[in-house]
Amino acid sequence: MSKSDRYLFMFIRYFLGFLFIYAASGKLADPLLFSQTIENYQVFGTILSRWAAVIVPFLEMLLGLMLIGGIWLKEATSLTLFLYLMFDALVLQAYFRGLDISCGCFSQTGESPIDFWKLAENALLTGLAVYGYYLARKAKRSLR
Amino acid sequence: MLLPAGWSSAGNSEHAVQIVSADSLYIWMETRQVILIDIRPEEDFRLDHIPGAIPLPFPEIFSRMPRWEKAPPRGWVLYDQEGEMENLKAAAAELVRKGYRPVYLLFGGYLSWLDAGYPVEEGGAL
Repeated sequence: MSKSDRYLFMFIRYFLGFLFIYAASGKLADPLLFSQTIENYQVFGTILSRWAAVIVPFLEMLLGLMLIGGIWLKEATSLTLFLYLMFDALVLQAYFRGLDISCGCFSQTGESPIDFWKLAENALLTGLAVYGYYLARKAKRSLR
Repeated sequence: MLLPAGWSSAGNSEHAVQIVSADSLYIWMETRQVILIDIRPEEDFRLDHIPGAIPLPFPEIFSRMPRWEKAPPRGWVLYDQEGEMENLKAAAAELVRKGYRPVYLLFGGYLSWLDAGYPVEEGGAL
C-alpha cells in the first residue's frame, strides 16, 4: 500500500466512521420515528421496520467506532459496504416508484427528499465504501 | 483514534501509561518521535515488525532492557501481537519503574497496525 493510499484509507475510515456515529445518534434518540421513516419506504411491514429501527442504528454506531478505532477493519469495511448497498437499494426503489418521502438517512427531523441529489450523495458514499473495502483488502494482502 | 486517551497508571505516576492508536503511532513514527519496543516472541519479530522497532521479547524485558540516556519527544511505545493487556501492562510497569515515561501501549497490537495498511519490515536480527 502506498503512502497516499494509507492516508486516503485513514480519511475514508474517519469520514465514514463519524458519519455513521452522527447518523446513529439521531436514530437512537427517537427509534419510533425512525421505524416510521423505514415503513414509509413501503418495503417492510410494521414489525420488520421496528426491528430495523433498533438494529440499524446500533450497527451504524458499532461500525463507526470500529472504523475510527481501527478494529477489525476488513470486517468493518465489508459490513459498511453491505449497509450502503442496502441503503442504495431502498432509496433507488423509492425514487423509481416516485414515493414522496423523507430519506431519514442522517436526521429524523429535517426534510431530506429522495431526488437526484440524494442518489448522487448515496453514490458518492457508496464509492467511498467500495474504495475503503478495497484498501482494507489490499492492506491484508500485502502482508505475510 | 488519532488522539491517545489516558486510561490508567502503572507505577507511581498518574497517567504514566496510556493507549495510542495505530494511526497516531504511524504519524509519530514518520517524525521519529518515539522509541518503539516489540515484546512479541523472537520468531514473530523475525517474520515482520513495525519499522524501527526494538525487539525485546516479553520475559527478557526484565533482564536485558537497554539504557536510554535521552527521552524521545513522545516517549516509549510497547506493542504485542493483539494488544493483550496483561503482558503489556507488566512490561510498561517495568519501563515506568526504571524512570522511562510516558509509556504508550499500541491499541489492538501489531494486528491493528497491519489492518490499517501501515508499512512493515521483514527480518532483522535480535
